[in-house]
Amino acid sequence: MRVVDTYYRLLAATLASLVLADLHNDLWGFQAGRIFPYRHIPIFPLYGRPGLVVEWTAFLTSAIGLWFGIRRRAALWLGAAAMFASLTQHFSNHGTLTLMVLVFTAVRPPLDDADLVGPNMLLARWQLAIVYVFTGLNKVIADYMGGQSMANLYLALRDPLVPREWFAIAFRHPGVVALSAGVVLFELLIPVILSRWPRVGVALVVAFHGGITLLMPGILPFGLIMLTMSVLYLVPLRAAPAVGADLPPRPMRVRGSS
Amino acid sequence: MGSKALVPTRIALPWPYRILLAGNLAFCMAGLVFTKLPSWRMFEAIPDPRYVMTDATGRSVRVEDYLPHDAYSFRAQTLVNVALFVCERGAAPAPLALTVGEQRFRIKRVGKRCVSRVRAHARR
Repeated sequence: MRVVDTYYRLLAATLASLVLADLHNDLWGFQAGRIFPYRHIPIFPLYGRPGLVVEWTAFLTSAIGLWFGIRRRAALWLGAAAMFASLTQHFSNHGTLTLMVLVFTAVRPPLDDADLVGPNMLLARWQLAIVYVFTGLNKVIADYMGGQSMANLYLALRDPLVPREWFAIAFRHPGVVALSAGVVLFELLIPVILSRWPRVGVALVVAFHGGITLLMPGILPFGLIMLTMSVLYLVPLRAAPAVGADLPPRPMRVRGSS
Repeated sequence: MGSKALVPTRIALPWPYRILLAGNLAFCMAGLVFTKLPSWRMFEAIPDPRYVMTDATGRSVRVEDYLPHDAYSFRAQTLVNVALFVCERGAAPAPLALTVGEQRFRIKRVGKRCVSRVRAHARR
Protein backbone atom coordinates (compact mmCIF):
# COMPACT_ATOMS: atom_id res chain seq x y z
CA MET A 1 0.00 0.00 0.00
CA ARG A 2 1.24 3.49 -0.83
CA VAL A 3 2.07 5.78 2.08
CA VAL A 4 -0.49 8.30 0.84
CA ASP A 5 -3.24 5.67 1.08
CA THR A 6 -2.15 4.76 4.61
CA TYR A 7 -2.14 8.45 5.48
CA TYR A 8 -5.70 9.02 4.26
CA ARG A 9 -6.97 5.87 5.96
CA LEU A 10 -5.42 6.84 9.26
CA LEU A 11 -6.89 10.31 8.92
CA ALA A 12 -10.29 8.71 8.24
CA ALA A 13 -9.84 6.47 11.29
CA THR A 14 -9.03 9.57 13.36
CA LEU A 15 -12.29 11.23 12.30
CA ALA A 16 -14.30 8.08 13.01
CA SER A 17 -12.56 7.77 16.39
CA LEU A 18 -13.73 11.28 17.29
CA VAL A 19 -17.30 9.98 17.13
CA LEU A 20 -16.38 6.89 19.17
CA ALA A 21 -14.62 9.08 21.74
CA ASP A 22 -17.64 11.39 21.95
CA LEU A 23 -19.86 8.38 22.67
CA HIS A 24 -17.41 7.05 25.24
CA ASN A 25 -17.00 10.46 26.89
CA ASP A 26 -20.78 10.95 27.05
CA LEU A 27 -20.91 14.07 24.88
CA TRP A 28 -24.54 13.06 24.33
CA GLY A 29 -25.23 13.74 28.01
CA PHE A 30 -23.05 16.85 27.73
CA GLN A 31 -25.24 18.26 24.95
CA ALA A 32 -28.40 17.18 26.77
CA GLY A 33 -27.36 19.27 29.79
CA ARG A 34 -26.84 16.24 32.01
CA ILE A 35 -23.04 16.64 32.12
CA PHE A 36 -21.09 19.77 33.08
CA PRO A 37 -19.99 21.61 29.88
CA TYR A 38 -16.31 20.95 30.52
CA ARG A 39 -13.99 22.89 28.17
CA HIS A 40 -16.92 24.53 26.41
CA ILE A 41 -15.96 27.87 24.83
CA PRO A 42 -18.65 30.13 26.31
CA ILE A 43 -18.93 32.59 23.39
CA PHE A 44 -20.39 29.77 21.29
CA PRO A 45 -23.74 28.38 22.39
CA LEU A 46 -24.08 24.64 22.89
CA TYR A 47 -25.88 23.26 19.86
CA GLY A 48 -27.63 20.41 21.61
CA ARG A 49 -28.11 16.83 20.53
CA PRO A 50 -29.38 17.64 17.00
CA GLY A 51 -26.19 19.62 16.40
CA LEU A 52 -24.11 16.75 17.72
CA VAL A 53 -25.81 14.35 15.31
CA VAL A 54 -24.99 16.72 12.43
CA GLU A 55 -21.37 16.93 13.64
CA TRP A 56 -21.05 13.14 13.87
CA THR A 57 -22.64 12.71 10.42
CA ALA A 58 -20.14 15.19 8.97
CA PHE A 59 -17.19 13.37 10.62
CA LEU A 60 -18.34 9.99 9.35
CA THR A 61 -19.09 11.29 5.84
CA SER A 62 -15.67 12.88 5.72
CA ALA A 63 -14.07 9.65 6.99
CA ILE A 64 -15.83 7.60 4.29
CA GLY A 65 -14.69 10.05 1.59
CA LEU A 66 -11.08 9.94 2.80
CA TRP A 67 -10.99 6.15 3.22
CA PHE A 68 -12.48 5.31 -0.17
CA GLY A 69 -10.97 8.23 -2.08
CA ILE A 70 -14.30 9.87 -2.92
CA ARG A 71 -14.05 13.66 -3.36
CA ARG A 72 -11.14 13.86 -0.96
CA ARG A 73 -10.73 17.64 -1.09
CA ALA A 74 -14.39 18.15 -0.16
CA ALA A 75 -14.10 15.45 2.50
CA LEU A 76 -11.10 17.24 4.04
CA TRP A 77 -12.89 20.61 4.19
CA LEU A 78 -16.04 18.95 5.56
CA GLY A 79 -13.96 17.27 8.26
CA ALA A 80 -12.24 20.58 9.05
CA ALA A 81 -15.58 22.40 9.36
CA ALA A 82 -16.96 19.68 11.65
CA MET A 83 -13.78 19.76 13.70
CA PHE A 84 -14.00 23.52 14.13
CA ALA A 85 -17.62 23.22 15.24
CA SER A 86 -16.71 20.43 17.64
CA LEU A 87 -13.94 22.52 19.20
CA THR A 88 -16.38 25.33 20.01
CA GLN A 89 -18.38 22.82 22.04
CA HIS A 90 -15.69 20.80 23.79
CA PHE A 91 -12.15 22.10 23.29
CA SER A 92 -9.25 19.67 23.14
CA ASN A 93 -5.60 19.72 22.09
CA HIS A 94 -6.05 16.73 19.81
CA GLY A 95 -9.05 18.39 18.19
CA THR A 96 -6.99 21.49 17.44
CA LEU A 97 -4.24 19.33 16.03
CA THR A 98 -6.69 17.39 13.87
CA LEU A 99 -8.10 20.66 12.54
CA MET A 100 -4.61 21.86 11.62
CA VAL A 101 -3.75 18.61 9.85
CA LEU A 102 -7.05 18.63 7.92
CA VAL A 103 -6.52 22.22 6.78
CA PHE A 104 -2.84 21.68 5.85
CA THR A 105 -3.84 18.62 3.81
CA ALA A 106 -6.88 20.27 2.20
CA VAL A 107 -4.78 23.14 0.83
CA ARG A 108 -3.29 20.74 -1.70
CA PRO A 109 -4.52 17.19 -1.16
CA PRO A 110 -1.73 14.72 -1.95
CA LEU A 111 -2.43 12.31 -4.80
CA ASP A 112 0.65 10.12 -4.50
CA ASP A 113 3.62 9.58 -2.23
CA ALA A 114 5.68 12.31 -3.90
CA ASP A 115 3.01 14.85 -2.91
CA LEU A 116 3.58 13.99 0.76
CA VAL A 117 6.71 16.13 0.64
CA GLY A 118 4.85 19.09 -0.83
CA PRO A 119 5.04 22.33 1.21
CA ASN A 120 1.64 21.87 2.85
CA MET A 121 2.47 18.34 3.94
CA LEU A 122 5.88 19.46 5.21
CA LEU A 123 3.93 21.75 7.56
CA ALA A 124 2.05 18.70 8.87
CA ARG A 125 5.38 16.92 9.31
CA TRP A 126 6.75 19.92 11.20
CA GLN A 127 3.60 20.02 13.31
CA LEU A 128 4.27 16.56 14.72
CA ALA A 129 7.74 17.64 15.83
CA ILE A 130 6.36 20.88 17.29
CA VAL A 131 3.72 19.07 19.33
CA TYR A 132 6.09 16.48 20.76
CA VAL A 133 9.00 18.84 21.46
CA PHE A 134 6.96 21.65 23.01
CA THR A 135 4.90 19.19 25.06
CA GLY A 136 8.17 17.79 26.35
CA LEU A 137 9.66 21.23 27.06
CA ASN A 138 6.51 22.38 28.87
CA LYS A 139 6.74 19.25 31.02
CA VAL A 140 10.35 20.02 31.92
CA ILE A 141 9.39 23.59 32.88
CA ALA A 142 6.43 22.37 34.98
CA ASP A 143 8.69 20.03 37.01
CA TYR A 144 6.84 17.03 35.60
CA MET A 145 9.90 14.82 35.89
CA GLY A 146 9.55 14.72 39.67
CA GLY A 147 6.76 12.20 39.01
CA GLN A 148 3.96 13.79 41.06
CA SER A 149 1.87 14.68 38.00
CA MET A 150 1.88 11.07 36.78
CA ALA A 151 1.19 9.75 40.28
CA ASN A 152 -1.86 12.05 40.40
CA LEU A 153 -2.91 11.03 36.90
CA TYR A 154 -2.97 7.40 38.04
CA LEU A 155 -5.49 8.33 40.74
CA ALA A 156 -7.62 10.16 38.16
CA LEU A 157 -7.82 7.25 35.67
CA ARG A 158 -11.49 6.42 35.42
CA ASP A 159 -12.16 3.87 32.75
CA PRO A 160 -9.00 2.14 31.53
CA LEU A 161 -9.39 -0.68 29.00
CA VAL A 162 -7.31 -2.93 31.24
CA PRO A 163 -7.08 -2.82 35.06
CA ARG A 164 -4.93 0.16 35.97
CA GLU A 165 -3.35 -1.92 38.72
CA TRP A 166 -1.34 -3.70 36.01
CA PHE A 167 0.61 -0.48 35.66
CA ALA A 168 0.63 0.50 39.35
CA ILE A 169 4.35 -0.08 39.84
CA ALA A 170 5.16 2.40 37.07
CA PHE A 171 3.09 5.11 38.77
CA ARG A 172 4.60 4.68 42.26
CA HIS A 173 7.91 6.05 43.46
CA PRO A 174 10.58 5.41 42.31
CA GLY A 175 9.14 3.92 39.11
CA VAL A 176 7.06 7.01 38.40
CA VAL A 177 10.18 9.19 38.18
CA ALA A 178 11.65 6.86 35.57
CA LEU A 179 8.30 6.78 33.73
CA SER A 180 8.04 10.57 33.69
CA ALA A 181 11.63 10.97 32.51
CA GLY A 182 10.99 8.34 29.85
CA VAL A 183 7.91 10.19 28.58
CA VAL A 184 9.85 13.46 28.26
CA LEU A 185 12.78 11.70 26.62
CA PHE A 186 10.42 10.08 24.12
CA GLU A 187 8.75 13.38 23.29
CA LEU A 188 12.02 15.19 22.75
CA LEU A 189 13.68 12.43 20.73
CA ILE A 190 10.87 11.00 18.61
CA PRO A 191 11.09 13.66 15.85
CA VAL A 192 14.78 12.80 15.42
CA ILE A 193 14.06 9.07 15.42
CA LEU A 194 11.28 9.52 12.85
CA SER A 195 13.63 11.52 10.64
CA ARG A 196 16.51 9.06 10.87
CA TRP A 197 14.71 5.72 11.24
CA PRO A 198 11.09 6.30 10.20
CA ARG A 199 9.88 2.72 10.60
CA VAL A 200 11.30 2.47 14.11
CA GLY A 201 9.78 5.87 14.87
CA VAL A 202 6.32 4.85 13.67
CA ALA A 203 6.53 1.65 15.76
CA LEU A 204 7.47 3.72 18.82
CA VAL A 205 4.55 6.11 18.19
CA VAL A 206 2.19 3.11 18.02
CA ALA A 207 3.59 1.69 21.28
CA PHE A 208 3.54 5.03 23.12
CA HIS A 209 0.02 6.04 22.15
CA GLY A 210 -1.24 2.47 22.40
CA GLY A 211 -0.17 2.50 26.04
CA ILE A 212 -1.85 5.86 26.63
CA THR A 213 -5.07 4.65 25.00
CA LEU A 214 -5.15 1.51 27.17
CA LEU A 215 -5.28 3.71 30.25
CA MET A 216 -7.20 6.67 28.77
CA PRO A 217 -9.47 5.42 25.97
CA GLY A 218 -11.23 8.79 25.89
CA ILE A 219 -8.26 10.29 24.06
CA LEU A 220 -7.94 7.64 21.33
CA PRO A 221 -8.15 10.33 18.59
CA PHE A 222 -4.96 11.92 19.96
CA GLY A 223 -2.98 8.74 19.35
CA LEU A 224 -4.46 8.27 15.90
CA ILE A 225 -3.75 11.81 14.70
CA MET A 226 -0.14 11.55 15.92
CA LEU A 227 0.19 8.20 14.13
CA THR A 228 -1.33 9.74 10.98
CA MET A 229 1.29 12.48 10.98
CA SER A 230 4.11 10.09 11.79
CA VAL A 231 3.60 8.02 8.61
CA LEU A 232 4.48 11.14 6.60
CA TYR A 233 8.08 10.52 7.68
CA LEU A 234 8.07 7.25 5.71
CA VAL A 235 8.52 9.29 2.54
CA PRO A 236 12.12 10.51 2.46
CA LEU A 237 12.66 14.27 2.30
CA ARG A 238 15.03 13.93 -0.66
CA ALA A 239 11.90 13.39 -2.76
CA ALA A 240 10.92 17.02 -2.06
CA PRO A 241 11.44 19.53 -4.87
CA ALA A 242 13.55 22.45 -3.75
CA VAL A 243 12.32 26.03 -3.83
CA GLY A 244 13.28 27.42 -7.20
CA ALA A 245 13.92 23.95 -8.60
CA ASP A 246 13.88 23.76 -12.35
CA LEU A 247 10.95 21.40 -12.74
CA PRO A 248 10.22 19.51 -15.95
CA PRO A 249 7.77 21.43 -18.15
CA ARG A 250 4.15 20.34 -18.23
CA PRO A 251 2.82 19.32 -21.67
CA MET A 252 1.20 22.34 -23.32
CA ARG A 253 -2.19 22.20 -24.90
CA VAL A 254 -2.15 24.15 -28.16
CA ARG A 255 -5.39 25.80 -29.20
CA GLY A 256 -6.71 24.30 -32.41
CA SER A 257 -4.59 21.16 -32.26
CA SER A 258 -6.40 17.84 -32.32
CA MET B 1 15.41 20.26 -18.62
CA GLY B 2 15.65 17.94 -15.63
CA SER B 3 14.97 18.84 -12.02
CA LYS B 4 17.85 20.85 -10.62
CA ALA B 5 17.85 21.88 -6.97
CA LEU B 6 18.90 25.50 -6.49
CA VAL B 7 18.65 25.29 -2.68
CA PRO B 8 18.88 22.31 -0.37
CA THR B 9 15.68 20.26 -0.38
CA ARG B 10 15.49 20.39 3.42
CA ILE B 11 14.29 23.99 3.25
CA ALA B 12 11.84 23.41 0.44
CA LEU B 13 9.18 25.67 1.92
CA PRO B 14 7.94 28.67 -0.06
CA TRP B 15 7.80 32.00 1.76
CA PRO B 16 4.12 31.95 2.88
CA TYR B 17 4.66 28.52 4.43
CA ARG B 18 7.87 29.64 6.12
CA ILE B 19 6.07 32.63 7.65
CA LEU B 20 3.29 30.35 8.89
CA LEU B 21 5.81 27.94 10.39
CA ALA B 22 7.84 30.75 11.97
CA GLY B 23 4.66 32.20 13.53
CA ASN B 24 3.69 28.78 14.81
CA LEU B 25 7.13 28.24 16.38
CA ALA B 26 7.20 31.76 17.85
CA PHE B 27 3.79 31.23 19.48
CA CYS B 28 4.91 27.92 20.98
CA MET B 29 8.13 29.52 22.28
CA ALA B 30 6.11 32.33 23.85
CA GLY B 31 4.03 29.62 25.54
CA LEU B 32 7.18 28.34 27.27
CA VAL B 33 7.68 31.74 28.90
CA PHE B 34 4.09 32.88 29.42
CA THR B 35 2.35 29.89 30.96
CA LYS B 36 -1.09 31.51 30.70
CA LEU B 37 -0.87 31.33 26.90
CA PRO B 38 -2.42 28.30 25.23
CA SER B 39 0.30 25.91 24.15
CA TRP B 40 1.01 22.23 23.70
CA ARG B 41 0.66 21.16 27.31
CA MET B 42 -0.51 17.67 28.16
CA PHE B 43 -0.65 16.19 31.65
CA GLU B 44 2.37 18.22 32.74
CA ALA B 45 0.83 19.34 36.06
CA ILE B 46 -2.05 17.10 37.12
CA PRO B 47 -3.22 18.13 40.60
CA ASP B 48 -4.10 15.61 43.28
CA PRO B 49 -7.60 14.52 42.19
CA ARG B 50 -8.83 13.58 45.67
CA TYR B 51 -11.77 15.55 47.01
CA VAL B 52 -14.81 15.09 49.23
CA MET B 53 -18.18 16.51 48.24
CA THR B 54 -21.39 16.01 50.17
CA ASP B 55 -24.90 17.35 49.74
CA ALA B 56 -27.25 18.80 52.39
CA THR B 57 -28.14 15.32 53.63
CA GLY B 58 -24.50 14.33 54.00
CA ARG B 59 -24.67 12.00 51.02
CA SER B 60 -21.52 11.79 48.93
CA VAL B 61 -21.66 13.41 45.46
CA ARG B 62 -19.33 12.13 42.73
CA VAL B 63 -17.96 14.85 40.47
CA GLU B 64 -17.02 12.16 37.93
CA ASP B 65 -20.72 11.50 37.30
CA TYR B 66 -21.06 15.04 35.92
CA LEU B 67 -17.87 15.26 33.83
CA PRO B 68 -17.05 13.87 30.38
CA HIS B 69 -14.83 10.79 30.62
CA ASP B 70 -11.89 12.59 29.00
CA ALA B 71 -11.60 14.97 31.97
CA TYR B 72 -8.54 13.80 33.84
CA SER B 73 -7.49 16.99 35.57
CA PHE B 74 -9.59 17.77 38.65
CA ARG B 75 -8.41 21.26 39.54
CA ALA B 76 -10.13 22.93 42.48
CA GLN B 77 -11.81 25.44 40.18
CA THR B 78 -13.14 22.65 37.95
CA LEU B 79 -14.56 20.87 40.99
CA VAL B 80 -16.22 24.07 42.22
CA ASN B 81 -17.72 24.67 38.77
CA VAL B 82 -19.12 21.14 38.70
CA ALA B 83 -20.54 21.63 42.21
CA LEU B 84 -22.26 24.82 41.02
CA PHE B 85 -23.64 22.92 38.03
CA VAL B 86 -24.97 20.14 40.28
CA CYS B 87 -26.51 22.70 42.64
CA GLU B 88 -28.17 24.76 39.89
CA ARG B 89 -29.60 21.68 38.24
CA GLY B 90 -30.97 20.51 41.57
CA ALA B 91 -29.23 17.18 41.06
CA ALA B 92 -28.34 17.13 44.76
CA PRO B 93 -29.90 19.07 47.63
CA ALA B 94 -28.00 22.28 48.46
CA PRO B 95 -25.95 23.38 50.23
CA LEU B 96 -23.01 21.29 49.06
CA ALA B 97 -19.75 21.04 50.95
CA LEU B 98 -16.57 20.50 48.95
CA THR B 99 -13.10 19.83 50.32
CA VAL B 100 -10.12 19.86 47.94
CA GLY B 101 -6.79 19.45 49.67
CA GLU B 102 -6.70 22.20 52.28
CA GLN B 103 -9.45 24.25 50.66
CA ARG B 104 -13.08 24.04 51.71
CA PHE B 105 -16.01 25.43 49.77
CA ARG B 106 -19.69 25.78 50.52
CA ILE B 107 -22.02 25.91 47.53
CA LYS B 108 -25.46 27.25 48.30
CA ARG B 109 -28.50 28.34 46.39
CA VAL B 110 -29.30 32.05 46.14
CA GLY B 111 -32.55 32.47 44.23
CA LYS B 112 -32.27 30.67 40.91
CA ARG B 113 -28.47 30.62 40.95
CA CYS B 114 -25.93 28.94 43.17
CA VAL B 115 -22.83 30.57 44.58
CA SER B 116 -19.66 29.18 46.10
CA ARG B 117 -17.95 30.54 49.17
CA VAL B 118 -14.47 29.68 50.32
CA ARG B 119 -14.46 28.53 53.90
CA ALA B 120 -11.63 28.11 56.36
CA HIS B 121 -8.74 25.86 55.40
CA ALA B 122 -9.63 22.22 56.06
CA ARG B 123 -6.77 21.49 58.42
CA ARG B 124 -7.23 24.58 60.58
